[in-house]
Amino acid sequence: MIRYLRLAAPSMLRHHASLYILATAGAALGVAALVAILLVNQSALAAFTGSTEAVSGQTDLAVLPKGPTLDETTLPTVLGSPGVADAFPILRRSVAVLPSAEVQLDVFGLDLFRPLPLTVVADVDDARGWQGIGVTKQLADRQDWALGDSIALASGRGVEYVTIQVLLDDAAAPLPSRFTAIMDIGEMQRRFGQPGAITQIDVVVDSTSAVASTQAALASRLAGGVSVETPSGRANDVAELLRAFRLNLIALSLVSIIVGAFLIYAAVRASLARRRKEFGVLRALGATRRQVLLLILSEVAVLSGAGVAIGAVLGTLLAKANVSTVSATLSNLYLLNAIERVDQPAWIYLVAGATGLAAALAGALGPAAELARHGPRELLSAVVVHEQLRSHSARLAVLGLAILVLIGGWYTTAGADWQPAGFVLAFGLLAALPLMTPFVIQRVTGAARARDFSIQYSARSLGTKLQVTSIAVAALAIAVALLVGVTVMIGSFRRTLDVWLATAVQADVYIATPAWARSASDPPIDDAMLAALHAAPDIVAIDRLRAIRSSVEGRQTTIVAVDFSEELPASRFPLYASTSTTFDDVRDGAALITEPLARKRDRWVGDSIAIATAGGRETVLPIAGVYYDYSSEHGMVAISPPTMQALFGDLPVANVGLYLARNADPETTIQWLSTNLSDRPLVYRSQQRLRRDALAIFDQTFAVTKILQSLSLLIAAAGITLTLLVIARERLGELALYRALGAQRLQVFSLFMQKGLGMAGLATVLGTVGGIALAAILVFIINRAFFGWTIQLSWPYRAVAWQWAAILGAAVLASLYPALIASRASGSALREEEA
Amino acid sequence: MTLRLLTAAVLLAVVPTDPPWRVADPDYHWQFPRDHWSHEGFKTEWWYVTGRLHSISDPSRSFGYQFTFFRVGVRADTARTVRSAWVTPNVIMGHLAITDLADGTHVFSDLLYRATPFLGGYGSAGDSVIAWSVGPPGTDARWTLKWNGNGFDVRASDARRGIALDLHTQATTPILLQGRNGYSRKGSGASAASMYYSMPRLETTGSLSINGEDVAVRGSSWMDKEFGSNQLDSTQTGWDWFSLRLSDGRDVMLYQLRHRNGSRDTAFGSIRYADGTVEHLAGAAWTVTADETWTSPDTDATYPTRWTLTLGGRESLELRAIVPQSENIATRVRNLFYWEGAIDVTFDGVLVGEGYVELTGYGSASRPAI
Repeated sequence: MIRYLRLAAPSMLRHHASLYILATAGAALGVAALVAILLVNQSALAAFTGSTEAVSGQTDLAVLPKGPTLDETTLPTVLGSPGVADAFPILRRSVAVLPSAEVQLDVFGLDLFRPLPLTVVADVDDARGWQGIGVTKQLADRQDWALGDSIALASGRGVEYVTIQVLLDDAAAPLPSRFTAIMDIGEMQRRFGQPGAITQIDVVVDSTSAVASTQAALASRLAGGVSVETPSGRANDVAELLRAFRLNLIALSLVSIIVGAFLIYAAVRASLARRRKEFGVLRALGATRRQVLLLILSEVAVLSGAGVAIGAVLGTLLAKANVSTVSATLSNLYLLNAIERVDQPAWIYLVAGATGLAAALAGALGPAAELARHGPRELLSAVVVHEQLRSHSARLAVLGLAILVLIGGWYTTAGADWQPAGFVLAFGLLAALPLMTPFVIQRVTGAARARDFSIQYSARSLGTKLQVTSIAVAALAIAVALLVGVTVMIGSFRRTLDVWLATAVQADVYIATPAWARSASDPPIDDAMLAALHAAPDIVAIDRLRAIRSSVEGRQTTIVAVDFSEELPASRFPLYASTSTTFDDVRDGAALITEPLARKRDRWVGDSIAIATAGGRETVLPIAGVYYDYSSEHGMVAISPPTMQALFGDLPVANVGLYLARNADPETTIQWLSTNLSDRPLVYRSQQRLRRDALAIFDQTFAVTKILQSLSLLIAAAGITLTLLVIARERLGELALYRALGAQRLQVFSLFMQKGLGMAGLATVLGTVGGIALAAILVFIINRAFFGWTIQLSWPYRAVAWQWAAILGAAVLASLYPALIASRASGSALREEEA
Repeated sequence: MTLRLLTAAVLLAVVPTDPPWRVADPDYHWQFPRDHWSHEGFKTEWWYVTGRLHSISDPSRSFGYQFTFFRVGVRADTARTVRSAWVTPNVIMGHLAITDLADGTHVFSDLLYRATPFLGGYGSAGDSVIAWSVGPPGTDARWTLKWNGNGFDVRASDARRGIALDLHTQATTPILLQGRNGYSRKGSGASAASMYYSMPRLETTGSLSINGEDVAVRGSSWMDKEFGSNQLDSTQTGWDWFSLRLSDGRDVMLYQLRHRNGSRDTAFGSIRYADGTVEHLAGAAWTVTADETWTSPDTDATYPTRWTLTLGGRESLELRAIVPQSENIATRVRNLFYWEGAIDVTFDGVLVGEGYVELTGYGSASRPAI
């Protein structure tokens, strides 16, 4: 059989090229989606782990503060701990490069007296010692910087002019990003830090000591206030941080694989329909059923193998093309390092390849087994014998319904508390949809009365080819469900965010440092600047925000302090759960927490929350209220300035909101600030601009999702093409008869176009119904379980209408080729069919 | 001892030149014990203690040791106030080596820290502490060098390498200034000199650990102290340094700086006789020729390990390394390695003294020393 496969392959490829291309495309597109998503996810984690390894080599442990920073005098204790072979103090800060502040440098303050695993491309001998900065050569080239140039860096406190003293080779040293820079730790503290504070100590464990025992020894010597973590532990933390994000993307890419499997089913089916006689001859010549089955599956394996290879390449390209979008999302939402490189471990290709092959073989098994079941006579006869689905359609629909009832019942009784339960519901829905499709098609098309070559005739003929059409309709319905579901979810989320921004963003002008615009690291605004603000025109109130990251219930969380006095609007904190004294209680030392934090930690009004203070000591604050917040899925804590002062001492102001007099123009104030505080590296944004920026970040976040949606749609559209090709092939005799009876080519062409549109229409209706259900699952179950946000469901009419138009348009395009093929059928084909 | 190891390009890179460092002064006004402490304003300074020790319980067991603190000035403007402890005027580097002369075990440990209040630093005259630092990683004990009124107390250990030293020394002879008024020339350049004194005979007691064994010891040590701001010039590649305590009461110190081609560049020496008279030796007054070598499997450097020393053209002594593999390879500074080991001194096959030798600049990968 293998020999037969080898000998017959060239001829098969010649005669059925379009089918093979589509089958291969099915596997390729599904695998491409999975590979792209796995690569991007992996690269996000690699970017994180790379950042720590880059500057101190392969470290085994990291000593991290539970509070915002670590006391540098911890270093001798770490050095003296048994099993420690080396320890590297690090002070890490994000600073903006002026004047545009578009480039943010992730600056590592290191002890440059120590040997470090960094490769220097070039340096300048600075007589003043190590007072400059080392940047990557790639960044220097991009920015047109040269050794000895002075660059202006803003941390919020002011501008520091730093000389480029070293160019680093970020290819030789595994720097996580070309935006990584190094400075001497002393210069870092002097310019951007605070005396005595560092952000971590990387530890190398002696080769003769166990990492676990060294970790335990360190933890016991250092007592509270710090945590000692392994890189894998930290990577796990980041993986945990990104879990919801990654899970969503992987789920979407798996849907692409499923839709791809449908496509392969349709392609195999189409191929087999064309090759019935060939298999009939093989069976007549003595080939067993098993051999025929193996032959077909081998063909599929070879085809999908090619698809997997193409998909791997395509997926890699897709990942590389979209890495910046995902990177921006991760940087914006998770304050992680930008992803600079696509990390390509072999396991990703193995997993994606195996998944693609398995899905392809699963898709092919049904039609292959069905064909192998027939004897030579049945195969060689011109009679089409595969419409038993019609009789099963009701049973399948009941099965689909049963799946829905079962998973619904399971969810309401037991599954609701299990975080991934929403995905079970979503996949259950996507499994039920195709099962119910034949019944729906049968019912809808059965109602049509066939007369001449009308639309009704086309519709009715879809019902008669149920086994073929239902697969294509189901595949497209899944893609549509995904498209509509995710679109409704995104639309609802966007609308909720918009409403929330309108409520919570109350000040007229917001002032932040460039660093704050991207992340919350060390962005102080100094007192002189605050004093200068009072001179600005039209200001009636100033809202000062102080922020710090510290451990809340064991996880690094942003804690903010703002003025809760009554002169500033309480609506800045739209309350999800509260008491009549919520704001009084906050003024008295209680905390407000965001809804995501409340849901994830299961802490509500009346409970308390543990916060690690400056020295790492834990303080417990009562929770006075839970407020809606969509700026961080990890949650935040809001406290009053006196409470912040008591917990963390004097902190600089990170962010300022200005309330202007009624009818004052924010742009006039911004103009005044830009002119009069031109020496300050600050970002001024009006309320409108802030809202716009927030929504822009939101849109960017879902850019990747849209690519996946498009991929699924593309695969599904290919399914329509295949189905129509199958119909054209299987009904060649019928078409020839029409032609012999005088049907015009245009009529046959129209017939097939209508079939295509009919399938798309049915799939759109089914998919939209499924999509609405999917949106409900995404919004009310998955979103709440993973992100903790309350989202108000809303219907993005315009977007969905556009999508319907796109689906129908895709169906028209997908139908063109098969319609053209069908219209070429001539009366002579009738003789061939009968022969 | 003259030029000693001072560290490496990584340190040179941070050495500022403005304001200028002080240079060695032939008219320097020595003040003891004040001059045992550090001399800020000079770029480099070291306290170098070497010695031969014997087990008190088993006098046939003998050991060699080396303990060194280096002060490397990185900022001359020490008065400058900054917001960071890491912006420091000095770096502290420590080397510790213990050799079991019977079984040939040689264990070396090193450390390098910025002089910060929590990592290491230097005392002021009147303090007992001359210099200190936290131990090397994995060691929960400080390294300290203290002045005890008539000698030095040394404590140093490395838990990961299983060595420790806790010694108390007492001077039995006066301080010996090397060169006229302790002004020791290191080359032809105007500033190619350092201030240099020795304490060649320090009666030593205490304990050491090596090979997992704690040993109570007694013996004799030699302390060299040097400070200056000079560096090797571009034609100099390293040096050979010898300290000999002869049984007739003479203390002999010799050094020669070598050219890249191995020939002698600058040489100097001194002999203090048993009666206290000191003879300064010009280079022409002594020669040393290598008779045997040992090649390090770790660095490929080939070091001489047996020499013939001719003093004044009339006395020929044989110097022999007891443990040829006494190479120190620094872990804190890349490509810094040298040989430092105990020797026996014989005349016509008869043991007439003991000493220590330091050899730097051997091996193609060796860093240029200062």
